[in-house]
Amino acid sequence: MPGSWWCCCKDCWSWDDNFDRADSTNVGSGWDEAGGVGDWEIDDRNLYESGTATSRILSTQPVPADSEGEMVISVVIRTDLAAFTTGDEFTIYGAWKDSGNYIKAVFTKLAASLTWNVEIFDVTTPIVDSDMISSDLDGDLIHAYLCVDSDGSVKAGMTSTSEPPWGDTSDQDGRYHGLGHDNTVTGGRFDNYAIEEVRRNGKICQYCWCPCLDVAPDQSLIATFTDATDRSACLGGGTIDLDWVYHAGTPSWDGVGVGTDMDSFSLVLRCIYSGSQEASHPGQNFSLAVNGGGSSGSCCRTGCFLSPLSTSTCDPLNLIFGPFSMASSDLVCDACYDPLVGPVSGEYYIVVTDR
Amino acid sequence: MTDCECKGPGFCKRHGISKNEAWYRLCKTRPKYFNAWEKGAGPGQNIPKDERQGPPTPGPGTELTKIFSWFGLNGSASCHCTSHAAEMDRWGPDRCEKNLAIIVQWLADEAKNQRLPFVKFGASLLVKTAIKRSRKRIKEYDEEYHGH
Repeated sequence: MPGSWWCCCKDCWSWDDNFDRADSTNVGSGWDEAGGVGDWEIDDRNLYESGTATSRILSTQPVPADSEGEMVISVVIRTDLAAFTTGDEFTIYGAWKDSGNYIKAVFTKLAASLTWNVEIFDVTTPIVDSDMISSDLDGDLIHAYLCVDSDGSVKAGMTSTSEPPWGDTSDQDGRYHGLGHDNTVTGGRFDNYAIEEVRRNGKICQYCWCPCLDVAPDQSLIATFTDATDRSACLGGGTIDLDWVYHAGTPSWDGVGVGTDMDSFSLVLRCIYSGSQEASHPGQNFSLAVNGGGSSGSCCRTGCFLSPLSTSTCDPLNLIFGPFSMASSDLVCDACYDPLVGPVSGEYYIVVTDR
Repeated sequence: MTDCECKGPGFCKRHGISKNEAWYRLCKTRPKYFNAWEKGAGPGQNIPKDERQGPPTPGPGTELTKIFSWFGLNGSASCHCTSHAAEMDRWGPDRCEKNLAIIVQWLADEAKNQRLPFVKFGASLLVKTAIKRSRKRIKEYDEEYHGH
């Protein structure tokens, strides 16, 4: 699991199975072996599948009804005990409703290299061993996770310093979950399976995404310059695309302005996972850094780092920052500068929304 | 789709704001945004002109960042410099002065993280300089914008 994102609220529903029981072909009441595919068993205190193509086993423990389509699942893939071959695939299933409606994350260890591929929505992202956090890599114990949120956001990965794959395009409402393995040559071993709700009673149970109150912003946002006056007027309506960047575990949404005047700006929207989450002042765990006019910050003279105004909202995402000011004397900032008009002052706000 | 009546980007009579391409698209395709605009709480509608975040001129955090940039120190991606600078801006000069020890400790922590040399006295001096410059900017701002 992503260490710092993992929190626990006592009232959150959760279920786990560490498989620490005697060897048996019966994997226990927490699992629906009969409804699955392949031959699953408890072996050496692990969940073991002996080598069946597209094998699958689902848990009998659904998330509560009001959390359908929202869950965080983690499991340890034991490649230390099970040899793998090229194409060996380990799968986490989430938001499972039926065989045609579910989310899956596929983790593939490429035998010929040190790279793991993580696939969601048919998009594969390579994660190399050297990117993994050594304290959690723990030999060949791979800590894999899948986060599914009800707005269609899905994130999957391993404990890693590289960016986990993230998709915002599929909304499933199933409550079940499970594991899969696809290889007819070698078996697959899993350990320490755990699942928890994403949120409960307005509280976040698992921080897979940096939330605004309990809403996870998309990975692609847009900043709009608005209410721009006088010297700043030319910025009004201008936009900068903001894209989520992992930054080795310190994520932010970054963007650089394009085109005349806007190219004076770059923006960094930061989010603090454990930051203030007051319903009366949404988005207080976010801040916007405006870099404009070189190191002197001349395009944002009234302070280049602001938190959102109190009229901001999280659902829909509408984070309002400002006012920023461009003063008459700051000619280092060339945005909107018109030598014919001469030096005048101006203000502007920046509003961050979904894209 | 929504009941958004906008024919394209531009001034929206119904919602009383100008919508750029991005907001026009949200109005057309996202019910939550359309409903927020209907309630007068959508993007561009709920900007409180009398609410000011942080000090009215470059805060001490902004000033301190500028000072560090003179030395070519712009922070790394993993650095907390931006959030600390934002916090200092929110505090303003007086609270920064009161919390000088905390700020110096932030700098010490970051120096350690970045494996940079750190001299407590020097760091304290830089923070005090940033606070002083911020106060000066506030005075200039008041004179320029409010005439006092």
